Formats: sequence, structure tokens, C-alpha cells
Amino acid sequence: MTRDGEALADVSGAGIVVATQDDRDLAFEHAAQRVVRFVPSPILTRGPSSAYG
Amino acid sequence: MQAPLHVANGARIDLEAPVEQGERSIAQWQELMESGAVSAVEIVEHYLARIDAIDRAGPALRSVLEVNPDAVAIAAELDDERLRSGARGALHGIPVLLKDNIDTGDRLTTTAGSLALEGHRAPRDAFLVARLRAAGAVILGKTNLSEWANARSTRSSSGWSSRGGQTRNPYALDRNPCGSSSGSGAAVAADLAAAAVGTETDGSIVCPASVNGIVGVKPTLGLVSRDGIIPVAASQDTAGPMARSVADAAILLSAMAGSDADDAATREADAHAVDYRAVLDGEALRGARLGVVRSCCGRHEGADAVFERAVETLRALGAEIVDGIDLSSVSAVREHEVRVMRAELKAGIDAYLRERPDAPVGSLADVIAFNARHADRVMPYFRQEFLEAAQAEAGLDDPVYLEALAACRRIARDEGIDRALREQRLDALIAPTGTPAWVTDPIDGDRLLGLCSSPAAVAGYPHVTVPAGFVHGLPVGLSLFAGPWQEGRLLAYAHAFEQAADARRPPTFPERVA
Repeated sequence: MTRDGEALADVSGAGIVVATQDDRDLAFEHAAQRVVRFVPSPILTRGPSSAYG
Repeated sequence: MQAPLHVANGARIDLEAPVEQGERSIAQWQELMESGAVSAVEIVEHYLARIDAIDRAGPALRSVLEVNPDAVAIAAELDDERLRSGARGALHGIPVLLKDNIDTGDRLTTTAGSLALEGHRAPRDAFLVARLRAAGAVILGKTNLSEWANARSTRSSSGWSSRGGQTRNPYALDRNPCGSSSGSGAAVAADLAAAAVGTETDGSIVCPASVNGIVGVKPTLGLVSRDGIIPVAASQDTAGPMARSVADAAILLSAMAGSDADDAATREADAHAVDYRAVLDGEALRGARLGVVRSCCGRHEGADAVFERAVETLRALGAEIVDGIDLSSVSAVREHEVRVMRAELKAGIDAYLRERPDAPVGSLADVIAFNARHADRVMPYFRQEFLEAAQAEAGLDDPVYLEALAACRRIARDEGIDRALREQRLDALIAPTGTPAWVTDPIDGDRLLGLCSSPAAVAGYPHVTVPAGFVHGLPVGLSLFAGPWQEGRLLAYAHAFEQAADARRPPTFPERVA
């Protein structure tokens, strides 16, 4: 929750707590960067959780 | 609880005593049986009582899925045979556990931990099981595993199966035993059998061996037959021993290794297999050139510190240490490896089930459908997206698969291990096997920080891990790997290190790290 009570926990997905509009913009900016840098690889190129076989 | 056993030196094995007071090596058990102080029946009963006390009750490790209802009777026959005509060899009357993806043609079931295969009895023993029985081993039971050997989901919890629940790490019960040979690792660590057999496609022997503080041997692909093992990826799958000492692992490997007409990959096995116990030599490290794989370090400072001490021990034992080996290029193999695994998983599971018409499911598609119908029991924590991805594969003649397989071989062998060994004139490579056990979390899945299994696994080359020390009471292993058929050399090095380092300590089953 932000200081004004607005639920924004999932706004960025970047673990950034947003409290103001500036923060929110910043969070989206970070989120956009994360999407670029950490786009989840599709199942087809991801392996099992750890050791396998 | 049964009465304590009498042993040769007048001491008694108290089944309620701390685990470290009851542990016996295979050679010690053999000596006790030869002297007539203990019978195979008593040893089997000893381990069955420990399974009741430690695996079902007490710490409740949940490492053993089922015990062999005929184990005592088999042991009695072996006792009679010993009296009549002597012991067959080092494994005569020795109880061994098998991972639940290895066929046994007896009253035990073979299920890969999956409810889809609940009740499935294999038509005959896997080749390696037949060899163990021929050597006199008593198949004590089947061990829990990461379901389908961790080929079901990208977000699984290692050591969890829908048949067996979550196996716990005996060094901290809230932590993970790694996998997928989770039960084999935890059971051997807790002294629930003399030794166990695991299987590995990438890491599934060496990771659970490392985090459970035992020895694990992932052999060269083709030294041990893949016959009768529920497959993941045929180009990397292999079974191997998991034991409390290098000598015990060597005894097991000697019995398991050999050519099998039903597995073309084992064509050269007879030419390379030796009596691995006979090559163990405390002086083996003198003059050995060992390359430190630095690209496998840096994942956890505690594991790194244990590894640095191990390197100093190796140096003190006469090894020449060549630092700075970089196998980071092998990380590029991951995408190809997963592609290969997907294609081979579908082909392998379909073939395995096709050859077992009595199994409750007949194909990978059937497995997926069963899981979907019973999602509440099969998939309470994670789903089956990897099985589904495998089901969508085109087949083993797909050029995409064939290119990926060629890339795996080139990156892991030619540009990886082979090049490092050749350019630095090395006898073997060494690395920290992995990082300490993580806290088990079935909801979010595994949190393994580092594991140095892929180079040897993808290359199909041998890899031995041996206990090296502890991080906050959690075991970590030292890895040794080399070119194909070098098991004897690696076991000799590991044995020499083990004798000097004396790093293994039995577990005390704490709820969590102190």
C-alpha cells in the first residue's frame, strides 16, 4: 500500500514501493527495464528447477 | 524395536543409539558376516528397523518409498548359500536401496514417484539390478525422488513426488535433499542401507550426494546400462552409486558396470570396467595435475572456503594444482541441453511405457492426462509444463533436435572438458560440487545457488563427488571430473582425498540450522 492507501504492490513487479506519482513513474520505468532485461524465458528454453535425471 | 545385534569384537549395535555408532562400511559388514557374528538377515532387519525409526517416525525423512517384502527371505537364502559355498563377493548379503525409476522384477513397484504409475510392477529387473543381485546384493527397497526425476516442472521442489511427498535433508530437516536422487542421498546419509543407486541426467547424483554429505559417482555414459530405467534424456542418462565412502561406491560400481546387449551405448563398457576397489590408492594424488574450474566458484562464499581448504589438502597430498580453468563457455550449452532433453524425454517415456503394456498409462500423453485429471493430488504445488513441452516435440529425426545434440557434444566435450584437459595437460578437473542445501519451499520451488554438474553431464563424462566439509552444518562436496572411462582414476583421487580430509560426519537430524 502507498502512503495514500492505494494498492500498488504489483505496479512494477520490480519490488519498488511507490508513494508518489513520481515514484510511480519511476517504478514503471524500472519495470520496463526489467521486462527488457529479464523477460521470462519461454518453457521451451527453460530447464527443470535444479538437478534432474 | 528389535534386540541389538552382536558383533565380532564383542560390541553391540544398538538400534536406538546415535547413527554414527551404528554405521558400518560394506567391507565391515562383510567381515562380520564372514566371521559368523552377524547374518545377512540381521543386517536387513537392522536397516528395516532404522527405516521404521528414522524414515517413517522420528525425523521422518520420507526417503524410502517402499521396502522389499522379500528382503529378509532373500537374505536368508544368501546366508544359506554363504554357509554352503562361500560368499559370491563383496556385495554378498549387502542391502542396497534403488531409486524408484529403476525397474525391479519383484513385488516392488517402479513409478518415478508418480501416482500415474502407482502399482506398476516392472516385468523384469533392470540390467544393473540383475547384476547387483548376481553379485549377492539384497534389494532393500525403492527411494523417493523428484517426481519424474525432476522432468515435470520448471518450478518444482526437489525431492517431492506425488507418491512420496517431500524428502527431508538429514542435516537440517527443513532443508532440501536436492534431487532427483533425493531419497537415495538422504537414506544413505542417514544409514538406512549400506548404499544406494541413483540416476543422473544433469546433477541428479552429484547434487544430492553433495548436500547429503556422501559420495556420488556419475559414470561415463555407457559404463552402466540404461536398460530398465525410466528415462529423461538418453544422451545423458546414467545410473551410479551413492555411498558413505569411496570404497563402498567403488564396490557398487564394479558390480553395476558392464556391457549390455540391449543398450548399444555400453558396447565398450566391458573393455573399460575394472575392479574399482582395487585401484583405490592413498598415494594416488602424488604427481596428479588437477585443474581448478574457477568458473564453478563464486556462488557461495562458504562453499568456496570449503573448496579452497580441499585444494590445499589435495596439494599437500602431492597434487599439482593448475588454477584458473574457465568452463563458463559450457553455460551456453543450457539452451541446447533443454532442447535435447525435451525431445528425448518424449521419445524415451513413450518407448518405456510401450514396452510395459501392464503399466496403468501407455504414453507421455496418458501421463499428462492422468495428472490433469488428478491435479489436486498430483499438482498441489507445481504443474507439468515441462512434460507438456516435451509432448509437443517433433521427434528424434527433427533437424532442430539433431543440431542441438551436436551443439551439446561440441560445447561440453570439444570446447569444454577435452580442451581444458589437453591444453593444460591435466589428469582431472576439480570444483566445488555445489552450494549448501536450501530451505525447502514447495510453493516457490528450488533455490539452488550453484551446481557444477553440467560439463560432465552433457559431455557424458565421469564425475565423482566426495564430502569436503560443512557450511553452517550443511555438507558440501568436492567434485572431480575427467575424460571418458576415467572412473578408476577419479575414484583413486577421491579416495586419497577422503582418507586425508576425513570430512564426512553422520547427520544428527536437527530441525533447522543452529
